[in-house]
Amino acid sequence: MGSERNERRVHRGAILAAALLLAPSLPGCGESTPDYPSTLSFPSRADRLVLKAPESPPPGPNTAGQLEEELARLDAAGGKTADPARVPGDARQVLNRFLKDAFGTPAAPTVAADTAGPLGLTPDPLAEGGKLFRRHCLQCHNLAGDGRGPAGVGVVPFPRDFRRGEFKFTTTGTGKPRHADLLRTLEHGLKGTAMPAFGLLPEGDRDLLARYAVYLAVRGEVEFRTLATLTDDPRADARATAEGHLKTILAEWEKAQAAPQPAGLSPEPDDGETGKSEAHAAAVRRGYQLFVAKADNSCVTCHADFGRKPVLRYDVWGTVAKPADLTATTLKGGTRPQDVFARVRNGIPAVGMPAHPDYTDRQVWDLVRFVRSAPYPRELPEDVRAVVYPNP
Amino acid sequence: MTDTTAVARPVPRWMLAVAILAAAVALVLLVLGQLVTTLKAGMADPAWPTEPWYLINNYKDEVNYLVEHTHRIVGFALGGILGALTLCVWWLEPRKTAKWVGVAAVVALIAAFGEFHRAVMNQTDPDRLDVPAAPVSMMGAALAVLTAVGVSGLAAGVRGSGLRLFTTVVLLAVMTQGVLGGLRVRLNALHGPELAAVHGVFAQVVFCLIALLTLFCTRPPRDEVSRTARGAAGWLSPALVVVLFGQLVLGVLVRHLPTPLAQRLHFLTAFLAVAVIVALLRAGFATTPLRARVAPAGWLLGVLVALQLVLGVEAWMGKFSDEARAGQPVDSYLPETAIPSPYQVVVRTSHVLIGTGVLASAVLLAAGLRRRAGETIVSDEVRESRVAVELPRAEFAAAGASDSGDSR
Repeated sequence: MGSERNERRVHRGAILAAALLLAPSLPGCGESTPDYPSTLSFPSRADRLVLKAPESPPPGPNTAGQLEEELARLDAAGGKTADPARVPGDARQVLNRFLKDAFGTPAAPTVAADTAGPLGLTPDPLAEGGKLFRRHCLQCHNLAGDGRGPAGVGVVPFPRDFRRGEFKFTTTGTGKPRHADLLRTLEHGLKGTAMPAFGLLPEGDRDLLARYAVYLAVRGEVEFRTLATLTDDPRADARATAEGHLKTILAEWEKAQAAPQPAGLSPEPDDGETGKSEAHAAAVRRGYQLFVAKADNSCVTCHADFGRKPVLRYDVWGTVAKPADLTATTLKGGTRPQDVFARVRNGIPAVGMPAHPDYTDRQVWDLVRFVRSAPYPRELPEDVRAVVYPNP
Repeated sequence: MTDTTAVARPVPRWMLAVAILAAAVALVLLVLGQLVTTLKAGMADPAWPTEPWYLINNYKDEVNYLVEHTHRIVGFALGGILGALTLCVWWLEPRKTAKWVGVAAVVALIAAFGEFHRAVMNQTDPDRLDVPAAPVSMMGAALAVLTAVGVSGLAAGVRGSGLRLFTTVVLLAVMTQGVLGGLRVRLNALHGPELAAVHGVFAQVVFCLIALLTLFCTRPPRDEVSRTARGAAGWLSPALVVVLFGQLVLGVLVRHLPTPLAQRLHFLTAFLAVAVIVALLRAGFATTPLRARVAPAGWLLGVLVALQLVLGVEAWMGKFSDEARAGQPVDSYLPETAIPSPYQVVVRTSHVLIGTGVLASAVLLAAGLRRRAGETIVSDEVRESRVAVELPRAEFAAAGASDSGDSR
């Protein structure tokens, strides 16, 4: 009897122990991100519209958690912003109704336009993309892609606000990316920022996320441009204005997709072993000369002291763009040769980094060699090293 | 002649102090971890692993980044304290050969874990995570050695063997929790939210283990309490641990993985937990022998659960109520996108922290009820008992009975 009781006790104890050991893993089971509620709508935009960034340099870099306060100071700094609350209520309602008809809801996203199909903005992939967005992106980029998610509040640079319809790291010569540009950012992330890499996700999931980001960008930009028009001319026909903007914006996206392939895809020249061959040293020297050349859009104008003393400027979102410190090993847009080539050739229009369409491929590759070797003194020829690192 | 008896300490007083320090640091770590979740700062720095001194060269004036990295630094500190404690506990192994083998194995375990860390840090491809085989194998071998030595000590009745094994388990748990946190970041794309939830749950398990370790380092009770004497408290106490653990898992789901079912169950389980606590405390305070065992953790449990209920209501209101929407239209409000106010940050973080305290109190109460009485020592005057772990039980009893002046 006693041994039976002991045996039962041992069995109970074993079951309890097993359950306690397994229990921590239970949160990992099952469907982790439910669908959006069917009644959920995108919020109506309430934050300031940045119509024009100030020309004058900002006083300092952005401060985490102070985005709205810093945007509110743009007018005083010479920029131009508008408050959507100034748009008459009835016009606002018409716009909201149009946005819902044209773009659906988070649970049922759509783009009601003929050109949406060629861009891949059809309902089924968008719905799947929306679910993935909720799981992976919502906490920073927020429901409407405004970059004001709860996780984004405490980081700098702020998460991208898609609603301007512009992105930084593009290869189209404009602020609108081609699909491959978005896929690259999703795959590799942006080093030195809170944007992680999603290379572990299946390619298909990244594709869906990229499409959903475009969807939010199109929707957001239609709302932005229409509100900008209405704050300027409150009597404008909200619906007609929005319809016009939708057509224009979709055409811009199509044009970006069809933009000629960037010359960054041209074959990389063989300059021998990095830091060791004469050809590489010569390329670095030539790149250095271009970097410091006295010209209007020369690199050193903004990347002063090779980026150690960056000349701050405002970007299209009204936030502060800080030119990269090229003596650091991290470049947000990536350090692969083709990434740096794309930045030099196409610039970053959204932050005012100029493109260099007139440079030959060889000149751009020379700059690539210099930029990629700048963080590593041993890879620089002695004469260049002495200037970049005067105090070794 | 003054005839006084005292119960022998299982470890020196200073080791108890280190155990208490570990518990305090673990509490700080929990607060930081809960802040990381409340502020959604888990991915503020996508780089993992990083060195303990990473912030020196990579400082950024961003709240989320600083909270996340401070969390990592305190994690390193806790690991260091527990590593030192484990070394000390094995140093007190009375069998000379076993002592050196044990200490060497602990050193090897810690070194291998450090090498694991370093090897993963040197992997530059973020799309791959190759588990470094050599350090993992070395850790496995060290653990096998420690288990063998500890179990052999248990079988031979060597005093302190159980504590040595338990301390090793706690060290392993802290290491595992560190890796879980790192994987949450490294594998964010695949399983980020799930790993965050597992990391959150396991944090409570680790804290309870550290609390138990601290308990085991204290002087045991003087008198035994039989199974009959424990009465209903005997089965209510482990039942409460199970209920509270379930409630904790549901709470983690509410925070990390938004499902309506978890929200409902978290509410309902709160009622069940309160009912079990009331029944347990009634049973525990019913008789004098039991009261002595139950009172410390019992009082703490009662106070904390009352506080927890209030905080739970406030946290709920701050996330799901009309107040939380802060004027945002109900048809465009998603609770997970709300930015918590400073008040809500305090409320939610406190709610999770007090929940940890409630669970730990229940675990300590259950363990305290079952703890065996300690060995009494007889001396002419009350003196601090020295380390008793060096002597096997039989020899100690003989020494205590024959020598009234030299208690150890």
